[in-house]
Amino acid sequence: SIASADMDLNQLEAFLTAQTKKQGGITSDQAAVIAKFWKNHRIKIHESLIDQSRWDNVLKNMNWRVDLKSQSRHIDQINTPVAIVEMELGKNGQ
Amino acid sequence: VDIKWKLGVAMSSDTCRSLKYPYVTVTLKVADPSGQITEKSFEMTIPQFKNFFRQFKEMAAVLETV
Repeated sequence: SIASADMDLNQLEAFLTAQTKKQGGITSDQAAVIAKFWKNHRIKIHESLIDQSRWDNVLKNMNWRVDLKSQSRHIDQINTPVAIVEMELGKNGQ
Repeated sequence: VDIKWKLGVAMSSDTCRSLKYPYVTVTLKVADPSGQITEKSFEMTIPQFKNFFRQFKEMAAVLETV
């Protein structure tokens, strides 16, 4: 619930306090441990959840170079700088 | 041949109710030597997009100086 809602510290405190008051809920020590864990790992956990939502192609790598044509069949293309870009696309994590 | 982009924010997913993840999607129309056109689409996180943008800025700078 905490990760799914990406709770901030206020929401976390309210949520954990409510859990300690519930029948069969957690102790305040357990709440403290959970709070500490979430504070330390929130960003990494959220990033991992974001990663799971990226299933289309991502840009894995990109290379480029700039060429200058010194000889060409078409005179007007000489001395025109050209950028050549190579992009590697693939599925996230593969 | 053509480039399209959009900036989106993924609000929610099956694994996370509050995702709030901004991303850029780019679609390129590429012509191969035979003239055949294919469309390629890909997604970037904001840091990845900033790097993508920076590379093109560098290219533009080099193109100016050549």
